Amino acid sequence: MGKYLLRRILQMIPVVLGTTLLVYALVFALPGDPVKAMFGDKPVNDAVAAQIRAEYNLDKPFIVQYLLFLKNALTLDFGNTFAGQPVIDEIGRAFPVTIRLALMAFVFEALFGVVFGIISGLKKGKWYDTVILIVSLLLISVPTFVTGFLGQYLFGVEWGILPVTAGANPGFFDLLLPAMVLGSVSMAYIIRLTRAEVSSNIAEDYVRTARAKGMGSRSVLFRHILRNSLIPVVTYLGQDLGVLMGGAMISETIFNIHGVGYLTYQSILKGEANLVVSIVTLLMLIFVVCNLLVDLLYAALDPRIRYA
Amino acid sequence: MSKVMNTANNLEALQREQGPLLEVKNLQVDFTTDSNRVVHAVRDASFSVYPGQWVAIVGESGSGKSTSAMAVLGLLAGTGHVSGGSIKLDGQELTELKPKDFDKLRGSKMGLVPQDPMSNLNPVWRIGTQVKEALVANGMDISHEKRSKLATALAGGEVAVKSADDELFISSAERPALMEAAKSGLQKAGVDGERFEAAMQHFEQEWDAGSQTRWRVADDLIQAGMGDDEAWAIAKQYVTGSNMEDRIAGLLSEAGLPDAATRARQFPHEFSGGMRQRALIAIGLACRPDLLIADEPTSALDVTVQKRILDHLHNLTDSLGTAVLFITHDLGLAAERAQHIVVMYKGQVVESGPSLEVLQHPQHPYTKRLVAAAPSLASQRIISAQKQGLDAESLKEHHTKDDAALERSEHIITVDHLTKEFKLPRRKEMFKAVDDVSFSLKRGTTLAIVGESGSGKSTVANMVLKLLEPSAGTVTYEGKNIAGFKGKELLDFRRHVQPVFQNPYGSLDPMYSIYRSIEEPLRIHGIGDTKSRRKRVRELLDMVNMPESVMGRYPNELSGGQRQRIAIARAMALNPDVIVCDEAVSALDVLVQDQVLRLLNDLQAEQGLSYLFITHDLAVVRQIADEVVVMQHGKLVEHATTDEVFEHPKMKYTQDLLDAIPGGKLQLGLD
Repeated sequence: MGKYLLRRILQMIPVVLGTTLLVYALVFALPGDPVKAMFGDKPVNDAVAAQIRAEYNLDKPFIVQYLLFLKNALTLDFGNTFAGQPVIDEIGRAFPVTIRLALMAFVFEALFGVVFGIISGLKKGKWYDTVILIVSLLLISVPTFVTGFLGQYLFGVEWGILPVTAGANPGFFDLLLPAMVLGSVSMAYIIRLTRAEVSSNIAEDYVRTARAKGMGSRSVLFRHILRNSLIPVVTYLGQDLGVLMGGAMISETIFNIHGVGYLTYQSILKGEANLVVSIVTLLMLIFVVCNLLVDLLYAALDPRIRYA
Repeated sequence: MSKVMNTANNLEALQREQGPLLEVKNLQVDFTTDSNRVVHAVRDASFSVYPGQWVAIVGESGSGKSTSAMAVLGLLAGTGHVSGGSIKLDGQELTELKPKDFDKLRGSKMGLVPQDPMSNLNPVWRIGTQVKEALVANGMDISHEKRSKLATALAGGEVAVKSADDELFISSAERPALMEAAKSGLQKAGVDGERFEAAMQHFEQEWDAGSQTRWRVADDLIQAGMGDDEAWAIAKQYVTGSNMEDRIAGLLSEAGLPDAATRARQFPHEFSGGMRQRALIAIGLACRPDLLIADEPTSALDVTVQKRILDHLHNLTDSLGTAVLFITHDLGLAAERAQHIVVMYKGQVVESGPSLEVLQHPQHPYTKRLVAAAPSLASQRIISAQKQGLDAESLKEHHTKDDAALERSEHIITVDHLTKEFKLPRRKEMFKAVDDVSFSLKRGTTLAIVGESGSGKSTVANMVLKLLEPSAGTVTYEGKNIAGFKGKELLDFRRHVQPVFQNPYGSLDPMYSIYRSIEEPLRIHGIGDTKSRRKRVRELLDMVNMPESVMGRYPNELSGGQRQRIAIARAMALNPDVIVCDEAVSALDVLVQDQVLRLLNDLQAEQGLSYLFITHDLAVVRQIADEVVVMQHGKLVEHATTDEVFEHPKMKYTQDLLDAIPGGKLQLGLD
């Protein structure tokens, strides 16, 4: 177990190096000059521009810039934004908002996804199974921004029960609709996954054996059908937590939430390499850790899986 | 002898007096297909089971035997439902029960030992937990034994004297003290020497915590030579009831699982098939049902394991007074185990009666076919015929070559000091799956490799097929070492040595049509054009007695036997010299098995094929092989002609395998 954990953690090193290099290169390759962008339409004084370039190491070759960034990042110094703010502060403001949003979306999709999936899987072919299937198919095929605008229009404008946008420092109700929109696609996948698992587990021989023991249908459902069906669902959910953190960009933009997605979008526009790479690295770390937790959880849930 | 007869008479009288435990009358079970068509799976079936009796339902797959049993349990799969007739358990009508009331009957009144031990235990729960569920679901008293009505009636006045507390189990906590007390008690009673040792050994073996009761302990002590009062005093002081863990371990050890307390904490995947089946027997009997439904409980297991488990189940149900509805496709096995046989065919009961009666004077043509096809009975018939000096050859599917002919024939495949080692996880030493095995297969003959699972026989087959590389030793084909085969030579070898595997469901690609499956080897080896290949496929289908019309169909539309014939046709496509059959008929029903064996035999006669036949079933060997190699724990333990092995087995292990053939001791009416 310890050995396995150590190996998995060591495996993260090349992953971190690879992603940061890739993202750094992508930002570097972006068209446009970040210094010019800072001045907007105003004419740029060459001397000032050169000074800024020197300050942010923009005059150095790509690989040197990257290595300098890495060196500083190791001492947890992620540098400053072009506006002079420390990158770490920007991230510190944005992350709590996104974490809150992602967790709410997570709870939403887990709860409704599993419940509807079970109902559907137990009563395959009934009318409500068909309805659930069609709705989940719709949610999967319609892009998030459409669901987002639709939700905004219906709940916010037409019925006026939920705030239209969240703004800075959003509370629970401000984030409710964005979280539902954010979690809707994953919820649809979870419904389908749970449904498939439940309906195939019902027909398993050990379920019949359990019933032959004289167990009531409720305990057979919980102890044998659900316990086994939820193993793949739980692992999907674990990975999805990482996806939700990084994938909030569209919902955050629609609902004007100043979270990680919003910040990333802004910094890409401005060519803020330090900020973009820092955010992506952090998201990636979250993703990798979620993955590791899922693998550990998987082994805990299914005794047949052993660390190797 | 007279006492045994008395008990037997007594039992029958009691059974008659109590009336049938299970009475199925004119049962109809229907399934509805997707297209709303009604399929009658069981039609007008009637049979009954008396208390304490073993009744066997025999038939091929699809005959409705399992469906009838599941209807009794109220566990019909999918769209299945009882559409007519009645099922009475202990006088209570089951067909009109609500699901909730059915739950109450299952487990406590009727138990199930299912067919496939691999899929019937939930992989995520510990074995002990799964036994516990049965006890908890039925609110079983885990500190007392529950005696069936029949057992109580049989014991008569003897039991009436005993109070409920005499049925208390030994607990694991008090067992050491009990052993001590028994030891000193015996010494005080003046028991010594060999008798003392024997008694203590008996106690050590029999007094399992959670399964042995107070009165049995007292009984054992009295038998060992202790006074009545002393024995009861010890039993009363040291046998005061078990807890849940004890009871679980007790049930498991009762079912024949060694070291049960530790085993209970393991997961199903850590168990072998036989061990899982024992766990399932423990679950089936956990709540002491009056009726146990055993649905092909050992069909998935090796013959030797099958015999051990059925012997055990028999003793257990006899001592508990449990009636057993035993479902099997092997008539020999049914006749050996059950007092009464019900033969089902296409959803109907075509014949039923006392076992020997059915076996010796089958009335219905289908039963006659079953009797003729049962491999267990066939091999016995050969032996009896030989004893009476009759022409046994005509009874065999396969006319074995005599010794002289075997001497003359040349060796097509020679296996020389073959060894295969595997690395086991977390262990230093290597595991020898095959240990120094040598034999040779002669052209145009059949060599059978026999052994239990884990004996290394399939590993040998894989090395002969060059699917595995040996750790040491050589396999020679036509005088050439196959280890050196590469490129064209290897392709040529593959062409001439073809496999037929055990599972006809897994060895055909479900996405390939039958035509494509058979044509594939021809295409890979670049033989002929589309037109000539089509012709060849037609020939091959004809060879295995399948109609041309199956060419466009897919494996899932065919039965197991049909699929195995397709697999044989595919193996034959390239005109091989050698076919390696790895348990090729083990998964098939007896009648289908019979057909496939006949087919293999005809093909050998026509084309001079050589077979390497891997199986655990000696009954099949008798019908098809010229020579037999017996393997145990990776080693070759016996190698001789088939007749010699059957008549004069040299090794104890071979004798065990022979004894395990079901129906071996039955008296057949040979007419």
